[in-house]
Amino acid sequence: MIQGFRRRPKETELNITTFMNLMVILVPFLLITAVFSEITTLQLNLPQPGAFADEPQKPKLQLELIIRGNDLLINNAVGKAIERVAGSGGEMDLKALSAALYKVKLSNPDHTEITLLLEQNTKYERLVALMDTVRSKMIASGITTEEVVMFPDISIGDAPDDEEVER
Amino acid sequence: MNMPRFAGRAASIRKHGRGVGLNLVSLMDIFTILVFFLLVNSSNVQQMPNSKSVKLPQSTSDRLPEETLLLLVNQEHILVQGQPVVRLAELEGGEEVLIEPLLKELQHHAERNGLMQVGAAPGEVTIMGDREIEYRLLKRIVATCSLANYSSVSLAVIRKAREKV
Repeated sequence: MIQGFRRRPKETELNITTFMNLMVILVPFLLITAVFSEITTLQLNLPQPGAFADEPQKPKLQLELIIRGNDLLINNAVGKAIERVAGSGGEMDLKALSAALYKVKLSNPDHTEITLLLEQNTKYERLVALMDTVRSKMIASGITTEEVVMFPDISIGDAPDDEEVER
Repeated sequence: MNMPRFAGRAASIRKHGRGVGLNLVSLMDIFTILVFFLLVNSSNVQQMPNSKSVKLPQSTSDRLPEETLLLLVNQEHILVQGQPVVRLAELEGGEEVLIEPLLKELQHHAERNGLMQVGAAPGEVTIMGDREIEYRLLKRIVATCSLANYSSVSLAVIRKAREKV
């Protein structure tokens, strides 16, 4: 009795074999099913039939963004062109666009709609990048940055063919 | 050189009655951490088909996808709920805006979901488009969706971290 008691203490060990079995199965399973690139969505505004008919009065701002190659033009469809953002180095200048739109947002804080007018061969990727820029802006305040919602109600349309709007 | 080690080992076996067990403590630690990490990660898995043929554009949007009709546009086909409907090669050079086979398929789905009745709420559709497709094609797809009363359109994108300022 005493002999057995003396011999045992060093020998006791947790039996982890079943736990290991579980882990070995679980880890590959979870690794396979894990989603590392998360899919999210962007909402697109489509004009509802008859939506324009019962609008109470003509809005004073109908914001448009015309994309022509790498050049962007912020335009008010019921007024004058607001600002032109020229592209540089074969790319659109999204930072300048963001800054220009933020100015528009500051003077029209309640406005949330914008229409992107695209050329026929504009790449989808570019459209999404523009939607991102137009939707919101990150403003640095102290050490943190906060997201400012700009124009989240985005519609798309064809860019006008000629230069008439760009006077 | 090796003699003493073997001798020691033999002595150890004699003393403990068996070989020295593998030290699994660190392996267990890794596994435990990994399992919890993966469990937490996979808790919000969305059932989105992970198609290799489509390279989604990246966006900073954080709106989660919903269970909707899924329209997949890759470089060759338009697929509705995983079923190929139109070859893109057939659409090239077409003048009309609507895509007939797609419209037929969408109306079929709309009928099944009760969207064709008068006053029905607009159906929702998620478009997973390749980042290389052109606006020309996207416009036709969206117009077709809209005509089949699928006028709540979401664009699927891959989430990316937001650039500072």
